[in-house]
Amino acid sequence: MSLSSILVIFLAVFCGGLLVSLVLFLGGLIKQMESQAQLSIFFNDSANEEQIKQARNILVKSSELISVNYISKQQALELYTSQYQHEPMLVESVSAEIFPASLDIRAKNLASLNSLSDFLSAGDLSQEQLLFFSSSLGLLETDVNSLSAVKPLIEEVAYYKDLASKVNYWLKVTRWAGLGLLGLLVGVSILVVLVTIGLSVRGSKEEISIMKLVGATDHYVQGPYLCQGSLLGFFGACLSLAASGALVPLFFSWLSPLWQELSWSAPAWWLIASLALGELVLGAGLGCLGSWIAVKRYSRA
Amino acid sequence: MLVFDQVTKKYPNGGFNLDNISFTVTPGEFVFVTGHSGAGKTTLLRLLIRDFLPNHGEIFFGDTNITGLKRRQLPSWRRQVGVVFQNYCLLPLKTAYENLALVLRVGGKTEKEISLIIPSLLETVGLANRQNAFPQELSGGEQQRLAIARAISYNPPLLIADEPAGNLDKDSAWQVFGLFDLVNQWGTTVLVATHDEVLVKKTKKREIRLNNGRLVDS
Repeated sequence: MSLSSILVIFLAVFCGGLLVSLVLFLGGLIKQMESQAQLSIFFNDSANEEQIKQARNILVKSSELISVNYISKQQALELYTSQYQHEPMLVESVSAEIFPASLDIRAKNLASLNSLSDFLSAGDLSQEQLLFFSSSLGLLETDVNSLSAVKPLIEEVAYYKDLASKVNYWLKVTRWAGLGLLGLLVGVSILVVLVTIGLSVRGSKEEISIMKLVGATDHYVQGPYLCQGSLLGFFGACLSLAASGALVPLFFSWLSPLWQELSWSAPAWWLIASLALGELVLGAGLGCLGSWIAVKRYSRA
Repeated sequence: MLVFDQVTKKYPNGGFNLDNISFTVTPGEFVFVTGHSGAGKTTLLRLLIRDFLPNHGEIFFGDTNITGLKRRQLPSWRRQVGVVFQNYCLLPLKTAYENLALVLRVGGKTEKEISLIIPSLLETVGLANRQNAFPQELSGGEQQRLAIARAISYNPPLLIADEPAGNLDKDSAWQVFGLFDLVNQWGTTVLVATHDEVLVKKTKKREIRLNNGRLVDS
């Protein structure tokens, strides 16, 4: 029974650790994606450099945007050729004229890019809409009006928000499903510890009733059982830490290409230490709680 | 002074276990509580250790209102009452020494103090050479003497015993009552519940007689 208690607590703590790690990882991933998310405004051939730079100068005033870069037709060609430098067939036949000039925009968060995308795709703006975009983009109303004048020069707005939205969705699913699973495992852990310690308490019922009759306090009677339960939980948590220690490096090496892509570094040591400590506390706490219920339930003399 | 003031304890089915009992016991007195089986002797003793509460009335020992004690105060009160049961209530998997040590540990005595107290306790009850014996290796009389040693380990001001000689032969019973008499001479108030009227008459101690939960003589 003690072994099953340890194993169930191990499962609960391991899943808890996994859940917290996943939530932290996905949260970090979203922040990373948000900071790297980019909206590109491609201009048609009727737009000249001065008009595009004028639009850029307005956007630069926004407190919600991190950067607004002008990419000329020539620069677009250079980017293309550097990207496909190992495929001469693709580079040979292209000239700067076929690439549109653009503005590459990065924002502090996805909401600002969403707002900008909505603004650029909207037709004539009502006064309410004008106020809304002015506040969400961190621009003056006059600036928003000036920016509206550039809309006819826009060929296309490219904004890939789907991926970030999907990660966000999976973060929510993971959080709720994980919490549900964790709740279930916590319940089962407490039940198994309750039965394990309960058997022990029932076996010592005579001893407990004699101890109470000779003046033992509740703490004196319950103490050994609470320690026993806490130790079972602690061992379960240690097992979980050992399993995490073996699996996490594998996980990191498996995902290393993704880390490089996202220029995402490993979590800080204090975060790992806090997580480990949290797992130990959770394990011991589960064991202690199960024992406490068992002692309360079976030691009434 | 032990005071029972109009104490009533009813059975769950409505009958009376103790019906409006009032009496006093002066400090250092030795009193027998007598009556046939079911008269209410055990109920009276269990009320004293607050195993349960009366339906009506109050019980005092000195300044302590036993019926008014809070749950957290019970351990402290129970350490002031030595209790001896008919079936000894010894822990079968612990030696005589360990049975006594457990009670002393509960009261917060150190291992060093325990190692000094136990030999003298065992000496007092005539079990000096049996400290490593398990209860099942002791005779009935020896087990009861060990239970008495446990009950007096704190020098309690009140010692209560429920049919302590119920399972003993006459010689062992006299040994046990001899011990109660000794403890009483030290100044401890002793209350012994028994139905052995011959023994009560021979010892010429005060008798509180119960009949069907009522006090018929005190």
